[in-house]
Amino acid sequence: MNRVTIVNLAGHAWHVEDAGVQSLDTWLDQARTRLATDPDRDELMLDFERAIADRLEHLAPGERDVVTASQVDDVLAALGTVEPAHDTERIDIDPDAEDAGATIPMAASAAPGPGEQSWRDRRLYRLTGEDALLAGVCSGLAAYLRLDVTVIRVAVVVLTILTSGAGIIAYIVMALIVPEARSPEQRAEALGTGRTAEEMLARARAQASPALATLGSIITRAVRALVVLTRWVLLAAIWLLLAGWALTIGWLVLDPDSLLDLFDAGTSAWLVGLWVTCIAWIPFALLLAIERGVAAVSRRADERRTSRPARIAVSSAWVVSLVVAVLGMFAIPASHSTELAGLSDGRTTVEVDGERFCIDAEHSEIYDGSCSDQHELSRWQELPQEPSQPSEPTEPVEAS
Amino acid sequence: MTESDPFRSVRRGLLELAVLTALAPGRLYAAEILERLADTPFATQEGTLYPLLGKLRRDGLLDHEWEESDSGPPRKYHRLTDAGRERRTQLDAYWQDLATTLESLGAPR
Repeated sequence: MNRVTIVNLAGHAWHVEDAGVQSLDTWLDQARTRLATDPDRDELMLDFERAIADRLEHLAPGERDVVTASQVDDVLAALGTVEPAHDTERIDIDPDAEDAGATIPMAASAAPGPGEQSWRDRRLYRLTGEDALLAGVCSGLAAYLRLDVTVIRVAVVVLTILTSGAGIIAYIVMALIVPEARSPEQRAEALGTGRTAEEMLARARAQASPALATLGSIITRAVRALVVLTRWVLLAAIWLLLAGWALTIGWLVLDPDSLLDLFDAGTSAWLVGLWVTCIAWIPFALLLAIERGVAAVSRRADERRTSRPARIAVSSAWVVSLVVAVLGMFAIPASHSTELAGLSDGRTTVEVDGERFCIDAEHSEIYDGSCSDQHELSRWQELPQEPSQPSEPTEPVEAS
Repeated sequence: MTESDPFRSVRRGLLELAVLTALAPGRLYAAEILERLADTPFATQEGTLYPLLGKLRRDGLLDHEWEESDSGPPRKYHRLTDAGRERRTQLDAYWQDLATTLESLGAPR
């Protein structure tokens, strides 16, 4: 199935296959740039449109209903490449009657191409497509800075190593922020209007030395492998987190008391479960977002881009979780046992609900008061060897 | 007519004379000019011809007028101005002069 677009050429509507429309766009765009210095550019552009329409008129009546891409290509091939008149190498035939136009030609062909502009006129876009490795950030930068794309990639890799990975974050941020050059106009803007992307990239390829090209392909493979590896690590972390959360919830369901002991007496298991879920969600959503980001910059993942509602849902749930987790710290008080000072001989002072005890882990003994109050040491209670004892106070005091 | 054709620059230099000559008998529109040149060494395409016609018009050598066409968009007919006619005569004479010079250069002493 081929989609068809209605195109207005010199006042006539044509049904043209989308691929043909693209060719037309590219050709007309290139013509416009090549005629950048021609005073009659606008009129010439109309003339070209008329010439295309005129040639389309000459197709057999049946073929005219929908103009195919190959018919468009034939017509454009017949029109040829647009060559500005002053670029024509001319033999200076009559030096006495030299006109204004005749003085330009040699200088014009020596100067940079007619559409070539300074970097001020270029815009930073991502150049996706054939020559993009991931999200086209490097090829866009290369076009913007007029450098070989391999040079940029080497720089990015070196910087990433030197900054222990910050380069990857910078890349992802740029991939998300820098717009993609979609239309031919945007591509022209990205490249400096003088060139189409194809010309620019062909030039870059032609300029690249074989060594640079080899280096480029090594980097290409390394980056692809790194992306795949990163995604596996992230996915593994996500599953581990999920497993950890499931285990915690399972623990809460099967043996609530042992877990609830960590919190104030009377804290509901549901509340603790919610809190644990929220705590787990914070890194989970973050990892998920990073994984999606990495997936988005690797080109093949384009088709399964995360939908906007899904992204909004995940990020708002993340914010809610953050709020709940922080509130939970205050709202769900853990039992107030505070380690005050650990001593080198294995004794630790703890404060449990306002009272101080000294725990001697080495001898499994607990004393009243701080461990530093040596003179007031009074034997309080010997720790039982059995884990649970009915005579114990409700607050669990554990020697660690 | 490949890019590496060694005579290409010569033809390109003479294209202006060829166009002016093709228009000498009377007005033509662009497609007709291309048709005239098609079977000659000066065969060219719209991409080259249109900007050249624009330049010749700016130099005051050509003039154009619009005319409705039975099939397709209106046509732009080009015709030589007096200056164009004069330029053609000069170029033609100069070309003959060059040809004669080349001949005499190669003549045995």
